[in-house]
Amino acid sequence: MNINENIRWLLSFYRTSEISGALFFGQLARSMKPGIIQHNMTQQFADEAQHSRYWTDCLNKLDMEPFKLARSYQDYYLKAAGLPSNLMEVLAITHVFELRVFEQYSHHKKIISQPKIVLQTLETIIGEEVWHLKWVRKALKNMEIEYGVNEVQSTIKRFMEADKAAYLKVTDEYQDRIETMMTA
Amino acid sequence: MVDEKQFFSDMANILACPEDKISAKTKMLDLVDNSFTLVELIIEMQELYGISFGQIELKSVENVGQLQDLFNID
Repeated sequence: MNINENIRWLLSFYRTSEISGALFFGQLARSMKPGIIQHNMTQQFADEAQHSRYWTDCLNKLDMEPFKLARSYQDYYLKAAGLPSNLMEVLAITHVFELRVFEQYSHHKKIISQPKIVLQTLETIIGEEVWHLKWVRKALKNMEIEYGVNEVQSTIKRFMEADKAAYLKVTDEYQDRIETMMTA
Repeated sequence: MVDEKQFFSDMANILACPEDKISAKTKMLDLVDNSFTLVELIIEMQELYGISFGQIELKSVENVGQLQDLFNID
């Protein structure tokens, strides 16, 4: 596979995933009543939309146009995980989702030889993702009083299993391309 | 104690739809335009009635009558 084509595809994959993430969290935010959790969720979906823009800018700076990709991991996620039915489950699904994103970007950062602009974009986004992980983890911790530690932990575990199933289904091409880049 | 009529009225209020659209036989998916509206409805109803349940209990709910059972509405 051509290196440039791989870069273009991977950045387009992130761009599409961020758009899907923004829509996903935006709809979840709308399902909540006003308060700190809705406020933070609103910030989060605004961030996801911005991240998509960062990837578009990054592609353009590399003189590349994004690919239009038909499927994203997020599109399969709800199908595998099922609808959350209370606020704790909304937060648990968000937590698992953010862990996946963080893991993907951190993995990509390990590619030794890649354009500087890609690395800069990854660092900017990862910095913001850290805040996503923090606020959700804190909110989930607070939920332990109402739902119990075991219930919160078992819900996270259930969504993590769904996440694995969704991820395996849709990311074959992503894995191929990132591994090619890692070993190039 | 909340009765069926009140339950339907509260649902209609949250969904902003006519009350007569809701009966025990109404399918949940016929009441919402997308799956996230269902999330909104379920979360708001739980808060309104002070009841908490999760995805596992909700899994078998297909119509309003089954949701009533979950909320213990006669």
